[in-house]
Amino acid sequence: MTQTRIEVSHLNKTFGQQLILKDISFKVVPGEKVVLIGPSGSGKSTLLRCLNRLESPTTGKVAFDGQDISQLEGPKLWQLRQQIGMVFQQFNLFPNKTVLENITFAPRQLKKVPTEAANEQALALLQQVGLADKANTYPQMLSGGQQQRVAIARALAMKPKLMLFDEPTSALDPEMVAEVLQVMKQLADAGMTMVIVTHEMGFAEQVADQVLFLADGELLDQGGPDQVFHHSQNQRTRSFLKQLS
Amino acid sequence: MFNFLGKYYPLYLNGTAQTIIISIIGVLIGLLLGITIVMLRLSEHKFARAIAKTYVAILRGTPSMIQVMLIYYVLSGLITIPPIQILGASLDRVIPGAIALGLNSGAYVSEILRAGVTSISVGQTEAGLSLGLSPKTTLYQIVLPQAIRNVVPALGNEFITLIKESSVLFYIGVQEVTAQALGIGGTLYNFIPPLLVAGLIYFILTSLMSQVMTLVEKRLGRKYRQVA
Ligand SMILES: Nc1ncnc2c1ncn2[C@@H]1O[C@H](COP(=O)(O)OP(=O)(O)O)[C@@H](O)[C@H]1O
Ligand SMILES: [Mg+2]
Repeated sequence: MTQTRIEVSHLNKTFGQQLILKDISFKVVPGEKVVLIGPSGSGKSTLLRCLNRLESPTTGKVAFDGQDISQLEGPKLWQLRQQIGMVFQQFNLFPNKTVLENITFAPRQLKKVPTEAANEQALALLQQVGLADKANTYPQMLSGGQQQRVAIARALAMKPKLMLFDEPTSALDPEMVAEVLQVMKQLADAGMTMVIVTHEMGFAEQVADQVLFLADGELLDQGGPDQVFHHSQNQRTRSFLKQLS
Repeated sequence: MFNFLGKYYPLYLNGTAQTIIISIIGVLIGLLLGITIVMLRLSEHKFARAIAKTYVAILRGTPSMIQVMLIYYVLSGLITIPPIQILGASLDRVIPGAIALGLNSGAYVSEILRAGVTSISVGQTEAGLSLGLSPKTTLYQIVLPQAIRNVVPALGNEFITLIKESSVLFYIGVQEVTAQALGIGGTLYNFIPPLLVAGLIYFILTSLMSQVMTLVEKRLGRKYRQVA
């Protein structure tokens, strides 16, 4: 039994000459919800992508369930990613597959789940995100909010131990934000370990166990939601939050 | 003006058959080769990428007429293809000719496929990778099927170009449509009407190819075409 799902220690990331993430350290324990906030361009996506190794840390360590993953390559890296779901701002559903096929593709391909069982599981997941009637639809026929809920179901189909969300509601029309947040809330209540980049501060305050404030690649503030949102000693955090509200 | 057709039409039929055979073989070789080259081009191995790049650069950077003649002379120096006649086509010329066209077309097909892959957003690749799929599976199962669908019109253009370009095989003695028209023109001491007929034949063949590609496009698009 590991105590930490994710442990980031002294992570630095450079793109070319530019230092994008500076000496980042934090921990996520199983079941914990961590919300990552900060201005645009501060490195939130890059940090999130270091956790499932869509990006490689330049120096420092990222551990998943106690195992250093910062240098993983090849099949071991692919196996790691099977355990970590990711939801993108732009949904990134496969347009040439039906909703059902989007969800069943990875389990069938990677875990050799038989078609029938995979379909059954996918339908259950669709039920969970409120889209049971859309199984045979193509993504383009769905609204943004519906597509994002399918994307969540697709990630969950791999039974991940950690879910990463990169601004999952930022590309949505305002009236569709709530339905996606509600699905995420359900997931949080069910005990999923989650790292979420979002600008939805109400939601963040409601679900977060830990809030990280990133600015110019530095982790400037870190604490419980009440602490960061209402009692922060950090000037940058306060002005960032003020400007959002 | 076109009275000569009464006497010479069998030559045109024969030439058309040869053009069609050459084009079909050329398209098939071009497609298979193009897929192979794009696989090399997108592989992780530097050496494979270099081979693909060099191949495309050479084939695109030299005249197809010279490629055809070189391949004909090199091939007939290496192996002896018996001069068997099929539909009036002499295999010892048709085979090197079709191979030459395919080798040339393969370079263009690979570039079209590469452009298609580039046109698919990186988000598709990232979605595949984030699910735990290998880069290879992501490329072949997620990105390429979408890429191919996007490039069907461009591939159609390439196939049409190949049909027209097949007229260069007249230089190595393939009795295709252009060669027949020039032969008839020489006999008649008048090149214009026979060449007009040849032009019309090419036009019909390329229009048919166009129709086929439209069907392919519809078929591939049917599944997930956006409803307006
Ligand atoms: N692949 C990349 N190559 C070069 N620079 C990048 C790349 N990805 C992100 N950056 C830069 O890193 C910085 C942080 O980007 P990002 O992590 O996307 O920030 P955020 O998600 O907080 O808006 C930005 O300045 C961005 O331009
Ligand atoms: Mg971002």
